[in-house]
Amino acid sequence: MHIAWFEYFQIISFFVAIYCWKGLKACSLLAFIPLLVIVNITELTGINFRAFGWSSNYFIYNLYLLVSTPFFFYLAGKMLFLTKKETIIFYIVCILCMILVFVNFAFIQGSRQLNTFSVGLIEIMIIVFSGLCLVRLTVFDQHELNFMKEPYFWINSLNLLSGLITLVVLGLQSYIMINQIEIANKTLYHAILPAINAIVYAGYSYAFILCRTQKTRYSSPL
Amino acid sequence: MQNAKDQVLFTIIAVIIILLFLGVLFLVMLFYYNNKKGQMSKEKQLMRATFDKQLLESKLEIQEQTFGMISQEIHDNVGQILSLAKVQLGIMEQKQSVDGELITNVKESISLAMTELRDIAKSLSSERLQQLSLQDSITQEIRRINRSGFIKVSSDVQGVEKNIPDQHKLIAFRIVQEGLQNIIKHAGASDVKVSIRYLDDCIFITIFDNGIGFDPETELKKREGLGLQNILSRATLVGGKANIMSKPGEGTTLQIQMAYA
Repeated sequence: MHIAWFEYFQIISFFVAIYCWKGLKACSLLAFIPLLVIVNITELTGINFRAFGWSSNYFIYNLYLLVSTPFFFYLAGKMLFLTKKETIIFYIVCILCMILVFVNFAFIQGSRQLNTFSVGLIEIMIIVFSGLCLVRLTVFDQHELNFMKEPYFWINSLNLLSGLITLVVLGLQSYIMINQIEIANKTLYHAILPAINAIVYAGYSYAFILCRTQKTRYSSPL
Repeated sequence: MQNAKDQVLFTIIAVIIILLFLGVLFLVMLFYYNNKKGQMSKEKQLMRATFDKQLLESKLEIQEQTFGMISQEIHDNVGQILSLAKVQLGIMEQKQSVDGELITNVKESISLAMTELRDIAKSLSSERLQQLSLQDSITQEIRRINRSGFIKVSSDVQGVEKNIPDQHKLIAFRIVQEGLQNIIKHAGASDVKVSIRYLDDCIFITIFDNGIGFDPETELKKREGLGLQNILSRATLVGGKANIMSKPGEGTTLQIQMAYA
């Protein structure tokens, strides 16, 4: 079984999440554990797809989009500290997005090619929610925050920056593959995304450690 | 063909860099806003600490003045009346007989002393002042001063009293009380007029006396002018303002303007 270098960061991130589960629970981020299980299974299967006798790994990544999206939205909802009214609107938007992702998977792009529409939609939603969460964290918290010690800041700023890059790279995935657009003899996808993944999951690990050290802060509502 | 691919690659990388730049710019703006908020929060805390300190100082000043006033009132009024009662009892003792009229006089003196003591107690109790309206507290103080017969104080009220926070009511009353005490002690006035006007957004209190007057600027600079400074600073403490207008020989007018909340 082959393990790509960036997958080590994802595996480490999963173990750190388990180690810091109490902190994650206090910070309402416990859903990261099942999400990281899904991420690790997807990446390991996706990289070793030939071992399973598959000709392409798009199916597994499309499935990942379907399964991981509710977790991403759930976490975003937790980090946004929504009021009752906002929660209703938020969940309506999320359910609509998930329906679109499912419809795309089942009827439009199908399971055999990468669901770039779904990727685009999900990344846009992640960018918007991360931005909102950062604004909420900065504007609505009455006290000055030390961003460097704020797990929500790390998670959302990494989601925001990686979302911007992923939106372009994965959104243009089909075009990049067809036209063989390469950088340093690697497709743009393989040149950029592993590094982004490594940075994001290393950042997540740091955020989980911060959750563990700051769990008392989140044990009462902000 | 390769050139076209390079151009596409360049465009994609440029778009990524621009988007990343915008993302980082957004984060930098959040950092900047957060720092500003921190600075403002610190300034606010400092202002609150200064305000609390001033409030405490003001309370201590009021307490000191209150003790002085109690001492003076007991010495000048109650003490005098009880001395008179003692003299009357002494006369009865010397005469070795029970004079009905003298007993009545002694009873009246003691009753007057008790009334004076009750009035002093009422005017000093902050709790009682908070239970009463500002107008009632000022009217009771005026009645107490009038009863002493040293000076004639009249009052005039326009409008209806609105809901005033206890802290504001107490400080406004103490300002009026100090203003009246200053007139009794220093002004040599025979007539004092207290006017209370309840406006839509503030209370306007004016105390006018026909006393000897003084130059406010000169008095405020003196150490003895501390009482006047207290009046001004206390009004500021509850977001109001006080104005002292006077000229030698032309009496004095003290104006106090204070918001309801």
